[in-house]
Amino acid sequence: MNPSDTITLALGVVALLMVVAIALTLIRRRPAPPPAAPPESIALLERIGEDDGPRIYALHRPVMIIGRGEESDIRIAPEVPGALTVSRRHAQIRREDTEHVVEDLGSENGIRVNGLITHRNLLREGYRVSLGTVEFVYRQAESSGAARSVS
Amino acid sequence: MKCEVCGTYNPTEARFCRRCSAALPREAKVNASQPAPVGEMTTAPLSDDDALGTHPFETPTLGTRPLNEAEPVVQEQPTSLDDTQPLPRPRFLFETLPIGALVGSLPYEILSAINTDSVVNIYAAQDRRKRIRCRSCAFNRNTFGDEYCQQCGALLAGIEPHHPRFTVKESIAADAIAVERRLADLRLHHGGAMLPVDTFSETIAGTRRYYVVLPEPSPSTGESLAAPQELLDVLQWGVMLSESLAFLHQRNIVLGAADLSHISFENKMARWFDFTSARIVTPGVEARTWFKEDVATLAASLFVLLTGQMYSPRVVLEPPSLSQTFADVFAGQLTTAAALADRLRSALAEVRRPSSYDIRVGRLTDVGHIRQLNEDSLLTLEAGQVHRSVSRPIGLYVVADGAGGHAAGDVASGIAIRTIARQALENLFPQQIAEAPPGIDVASWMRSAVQSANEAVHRQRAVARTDMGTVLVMAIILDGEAHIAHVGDSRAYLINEAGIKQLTVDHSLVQRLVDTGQIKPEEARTHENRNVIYKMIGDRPKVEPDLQRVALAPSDRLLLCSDGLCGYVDDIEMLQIIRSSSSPQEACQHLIDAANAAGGADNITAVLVQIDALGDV
Repeated sequence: MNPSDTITLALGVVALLMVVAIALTLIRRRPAPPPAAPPESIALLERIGEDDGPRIYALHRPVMIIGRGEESDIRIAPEVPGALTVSRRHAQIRREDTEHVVEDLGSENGIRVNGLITHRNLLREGYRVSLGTVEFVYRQAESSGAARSVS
Repeated sequence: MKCEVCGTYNPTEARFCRRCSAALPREAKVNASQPAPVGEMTTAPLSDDDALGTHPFETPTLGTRPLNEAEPVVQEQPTSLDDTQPLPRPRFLFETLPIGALVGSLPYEILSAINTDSVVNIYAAQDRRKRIRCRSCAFNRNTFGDEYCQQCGALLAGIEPHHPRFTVKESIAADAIAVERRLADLRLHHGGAMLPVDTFSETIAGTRRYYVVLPEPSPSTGESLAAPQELLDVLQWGVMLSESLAFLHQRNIVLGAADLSHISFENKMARWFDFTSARIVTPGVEARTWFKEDVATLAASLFVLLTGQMYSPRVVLEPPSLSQTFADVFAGQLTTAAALADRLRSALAEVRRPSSYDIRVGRLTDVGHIRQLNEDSLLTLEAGQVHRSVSRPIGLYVVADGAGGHAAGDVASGIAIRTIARQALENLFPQQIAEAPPGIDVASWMRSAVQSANEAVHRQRAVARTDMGTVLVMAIILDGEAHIAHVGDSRAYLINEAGIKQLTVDHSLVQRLVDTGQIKPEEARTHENRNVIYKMIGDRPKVEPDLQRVALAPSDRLLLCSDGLCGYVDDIEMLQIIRSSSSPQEACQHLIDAANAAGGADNITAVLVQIDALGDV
């Protein structure tokens, strides 16, 4: 092999390597996954009861109104046992950073968290929230539904 | 308040921009730290609808202002067409709040219930937001993301944000926590009293609940403290507690229970807490009796901490002046908290005075940016003296700021320091070093030295037919004490762990206007007559300096300066410069740089004397 062939071969190898490198970079770039934000945790309110009515409410908006009124984001239908003890606009749940705060909107029967009367309250995993006699449990489920890692 | 430099919005009470640390305009500052003079104290009505009970005490009603809170409008039936079925409940629903309840506008987050009963619930709570506590000034309301302290402008980098902790008291009976609510509403601040900081009300399920917020006491109260404690610690606590008691008494607040269970101890700090037994009283003979009782209870508590036993005149304490102080309190001769503070302070000075110390001095003078001539003069004279390994140097320091222009002000300040130097070398130093104790009477020596300087300048003034004169401040360090004399508006400051304290009171027109309440202290700096001095050297045949004596503790620093420094750089800035400098000389350089940066409109002189303890402390 003469020296010029050697140089051509070397150049070829270098060029090939560069193509592979660029291709790899592109492949890694291309399917840009959604921004690597911390896994969006979806908080839920789970209604407790023996009836057949809806039970799981996702807290997907920054502010959600709970009440018997039709305009409520989380509507307590008249069929739900104890629905009459819930005001039309009873309470709201507001997202504050990663936490949720429940607030009484001046309801007739007030709100209770873990059985105690309150006006404005932070919610944490497993807290019970009662509006009149209708009771919910606050769950901070993770999107995948995978087993929660205890930190 | 918007920062003029970077445009960041800052809380109204901020003094420095939290983004760029620029000083914010002073006018807008809420003057909360300036306690109202007694006569102007306002008391607030608790609220219009305190239907439950009457207030159990009389209060001076010199003025009224509404409670500083937004009273929520009670809406029993907010949804007018509500057909909700009411659940049975008592007339007043008063239960414990659940964990995570948010109350007040901060808001406060309830962490746990400490104590609950049918009238008052007490909770541990925290600020819902994380705050950054400043290392320099301990201001703890800086918010997450602030780069500079809103109170003092210090850099906040590297300080871990935390949730400030509080104790929240809650009641449906407004009068059950009435005193504390009233105290909160007075917005009093004192480092030695954990006074209520906030009060508000909330309507929870139709029932109004009243709240008062107190700083969280440390876990160790006086009761949990083992006695006896170290003398130095007890004296320091005693000074803090009697000073804060004097502060409260001045505002007609009687503690009612000044015993150990009402004192919180933390990091060498002792502070009053729990004001449930406090009363706001009408000044008079009766009030003085109650004040006296507070003082006696405090003294009894201190005695227990010192000795581990109840007061008895047979227990002898060191120093003897301390025994006398307790005897005087229990004989009814020492009746005010301020007097007790004074006595304990001098006992403390006696105990802490370094037996062996050295002096380090920085000195610098600068013509400034505007003037052609430096009319300031300074003098430092020192004699080191070590005998049997005990070092007790003597130092004389003078800053003189001449006035009268060329061949006048500079001449006057020069004559003054030369006259004082001559007299010091003739009698002060020889008598103090060469002769056996007792040494010279420093106060009368200073008076005569100032008088000699005055006569010399006055003579020269007649000869030269000018209106020359000079102001001066002089300090003599001797036996662990500083003796200070001054005439005019050159100043002496004491700098120590507690901060910076101006020792001298200017003989100036603006100072008189401040003293008589005609202008505010912050207006003095910019007042058009700020240069008018009513006492100076050389002006008249005789002059009487103001004299004082200050006990020095290890690492105390004394700053003497002309108004070219203190007129342009404020106290907190001087403190920061001095604390961040590695030597007194470097501090003087930085102080002068700061005055020049502020315009340098006058001659600038600084002498900084630092006391370094040797050996035994």
